[in-house]
Amino acid sequence: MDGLLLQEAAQDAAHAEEWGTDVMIHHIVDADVLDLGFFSVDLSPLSVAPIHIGGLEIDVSITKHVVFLFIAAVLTVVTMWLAARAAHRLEQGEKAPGGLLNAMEAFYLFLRDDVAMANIGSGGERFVPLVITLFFFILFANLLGLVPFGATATSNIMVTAGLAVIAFIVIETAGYRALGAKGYLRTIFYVPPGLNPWMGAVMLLIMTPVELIGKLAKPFALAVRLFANMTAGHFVLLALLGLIITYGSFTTASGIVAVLGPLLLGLFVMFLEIFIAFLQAFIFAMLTAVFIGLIRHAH
Amino acid sequence: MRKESPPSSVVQVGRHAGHGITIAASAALFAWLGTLLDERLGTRPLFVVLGAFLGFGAGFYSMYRRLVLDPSKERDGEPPAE
Repeated sequence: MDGLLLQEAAQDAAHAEEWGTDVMIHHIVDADVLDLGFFSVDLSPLSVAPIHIGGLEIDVSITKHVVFLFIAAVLTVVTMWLAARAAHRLEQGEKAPGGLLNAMEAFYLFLRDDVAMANIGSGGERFVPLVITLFFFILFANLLGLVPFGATATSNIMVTAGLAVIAFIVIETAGYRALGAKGYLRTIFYVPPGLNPWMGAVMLLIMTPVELIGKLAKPFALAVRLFANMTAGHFVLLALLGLIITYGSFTTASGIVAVLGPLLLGLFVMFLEIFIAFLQAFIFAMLTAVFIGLIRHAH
Repeated sequence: MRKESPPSSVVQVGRHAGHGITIAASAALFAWLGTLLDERLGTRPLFVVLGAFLGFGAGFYSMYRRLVLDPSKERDGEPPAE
């Protein structure tokens, strides 16, 4: 009898585990359905046949994450436009901007002076719009995942990789323009000084692929850092809240603990998530500026 | 502009965050080239092992250059490499 009960309990636990994993994965991965709680929007009519370029297959269908990327883009444009309008009004001597736009101004000044200009140095003005756009776009994409029925587009490695590719292209182009062809090639082909020609050639042969890997490692780290941070927070939150569904009950003391404990911890993690949303957007923008500054001053 | 102050820790972390990936990826790359060479010459596992060591060494040298050689050059008044 006991054996049977244990077996049943084990089956229940296994079932709960499977169910939990399914729910967690479901919340993280991309889908062609927008789940809005009371109803869901089927996005599959918007999917298109993948584009083939050589051996590459590119799927440009509109999915859940793409929708939230659009929303993040619209939010970025709208807040920037409102802030610009308020600044324009202030310039014409009308009225000082109110609360939200004051905050935007503080963000803008910090990103311009302490992030972009401090790291890129002189001539960094032309990269300020990129750094600020990256920050706000990633911030909105991160925060949209914390809104009920929202999805975190930045917890998709394809999204973060796309952003990193943009950063990579800007970094390398900035390096090429600042250093010229000869100077730029020296960031790839490096021969340690004071070697005889034979050893120099050997070092060149060995170090060139390593330097190329080093170039790619930076945007790769950018993409993985953002993706991993945004995904991990959601997994922690979903696992905590899953405990309530799996073990929570109001009839036993342990059941009540299993409700209240995860609830409080979940609340704490939620606050942590808000902080991480800001932090990761800041780190992505900051490191893009750091890398632009590094390659521009490489010799 | 705060160019004179030492770079913040975020900047330092970002600057050197790629080293680990570089070492791992260059070891993997040279080990892979070693397997190709081994298959052609039938010398497995000679070049896989050599390649892995070479790749690790090259990745390490790349890190050493940025962590030790460049900062000392910078102190002598030369601009740093990327």
